[in-house]
Parts: sequence; C-alpha cells; structure tokens
Amino acid sequence: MKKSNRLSDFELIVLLVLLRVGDDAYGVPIAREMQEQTEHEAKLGSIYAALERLEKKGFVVSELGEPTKERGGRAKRYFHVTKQGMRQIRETQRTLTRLWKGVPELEGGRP
Amino acid sequence: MKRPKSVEPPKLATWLLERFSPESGSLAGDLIEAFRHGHSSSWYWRQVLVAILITLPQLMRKYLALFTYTVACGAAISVAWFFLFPNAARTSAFPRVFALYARSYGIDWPWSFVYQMVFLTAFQTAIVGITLIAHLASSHQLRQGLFRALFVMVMVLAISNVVLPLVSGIVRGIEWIGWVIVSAPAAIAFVLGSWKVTRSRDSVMGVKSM
Repeated sequence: MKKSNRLSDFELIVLLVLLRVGDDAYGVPIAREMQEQTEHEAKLGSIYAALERLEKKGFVVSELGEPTKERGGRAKRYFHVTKQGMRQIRETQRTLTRLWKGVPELEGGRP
Repeated sequence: MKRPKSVEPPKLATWLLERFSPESGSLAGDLIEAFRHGHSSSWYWRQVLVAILITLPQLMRKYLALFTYTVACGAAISVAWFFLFPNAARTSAFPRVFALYARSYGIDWPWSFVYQMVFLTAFQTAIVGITLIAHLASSHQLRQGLFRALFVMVMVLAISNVVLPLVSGIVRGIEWIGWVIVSAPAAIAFVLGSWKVTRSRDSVMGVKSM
C-alpha cells in the first residue's frame, strides 16, 4: 500500500507558520510564531520532528546556516516550503473548505 | 539577594539532548538561543525532554537489531547468572543473599555486596561488549541466523527463569526486593550495552564502509 502523503493537523500548522515567517524560518522564529498563533507553548522537538517528516515527503527543504557564538557554535537550519508543499497546502485547504460548507452547526459563527 | 539568571543553559540537559537525539545540532542551537533570550531552566528542561521522547522511538527503530541483540545478551547473562549461582534465586531476600555470598567467597558484608556488583557488572559488560563487537564484525547472513537462534533460546529461558520461581512459590512477599537486586546486574548490562551501541555504532560503521 502506498504511504499517504496527507498532512496531519500539526504538519499543516507547521507549513502555514513557515509561510508566515518567510525567509528567516529557523527553529526559534518558527516556535515563536506558532506560539503566538496557537496560544500554546510550542515544543521545538515536536516542530523539528514534523519538519523532518515534511522534508521526507518533499513538502519542505532545509539548509544549514553559519554556526554562531550565541547558539553555542551550532548552525541554524532554515526551512522553506517547496512547490509540492504549496500544492499540498492548497489541496488540504480545498478539502477542508468543502467539508466546512453545508454543515449547519458550523454556519453563522455559533457554537 | 536574587541570583542573576545564568546565560548558560543547563549543561546536563544539552548533553542529554545531543546524546539521545544525535541529529539535534540545530535544535540544540535553537534551544540555547531561546534560553539566552529569557526562557527559564525549567522551560529548557521541558523542551529537551520532549525532544528526547520524540526521538527515542526513531533511534530505537534505527538501531532495533542492535538494541534487541543487547537486550538478548543481557537476558542471556541473567540466565547464566542464575545457573551459576542458583542459591541466589532460591534465597532472594537480600540479607540472605549477601550472607550466602559472604560464605561462598569468604568475604564479609559490605564487601560481599561490592564484590558482587563490581564483579558481575564487569563480567556482564565484557560479554555484552564482546557480543556487540562480534555482531558488528560478522557478516549480515551469519548475524541474522545466529541472532534469531540466540533470541529464541534466550526468550524461552528468560521467561521460564521469571515464571518458574513464581509458580513454584520460591519467591514470596518481600523477597521480591531481593529478586530485583539479584537481577540488577543484568539491567545494568542492558543499559551499558545500549549506551555502547548508541555511542559507537556510527563510528564503527563509518570505518567499515571506508
């Protein structure tokens, strides 16, 4: 059976956060943006795990920056969404929008 | 007076992260950077523990054969230990066990305890070390065959080793404490073996692939 390339909720959030952060998307700003948007403490370990899965699926690419003293001599790892990743985001958006429409309980902004 | 906040994150946490999450250079850098921008030590520890917990299954999958092999070796040693010292299994309450050791080796408490721990741990670590080296050095086909045979044998012996004393009522009540103590060397062997695997696997394989 072919392995599914479908996005989990968390992976979708990570991809959207990457798009929001832009060119400077490495661990710290990604976690900050995620925390601001979701209002939950972002765990960098979870974010990295999701990013690695996304990289394996071809939705994200990463490159290493220069090591800096502030980071104890460790390099930053920058992440970018690929074209395939963008396609997947749009497809997920279409699916979710379709599912949202026509559900009376979700219309009109009432719980 | 309030102590000023350290600019250095907890070293032990960083060390653990890099130890158990081998490809975590950038993650460690991110955590250090965030810590220096005002996060607390407890935040740092939380982040490290989550990162390790997430990576562990991945690490286990990567080294599954070696981990299983190490555990099998530890179990084999445990079985051998009960065969070599059957009285320990029959008299598991630890004062009796150590009295037995004192008599067997002519050593008095507490040196009997020290002797037991040092000797058995060294013995088991050596066996785990040798089997791991043999495992790494042997051919894939030979390794698979030997591994399967050893694994099945050890599992059968290990299960009977634990179940039989319980069923026969040899181990009763508080004697479980003694049972745990006499099993401790095998547990130490598992930990040391796993430690050895995670530390040396890449370098050994690197040399082999050259």
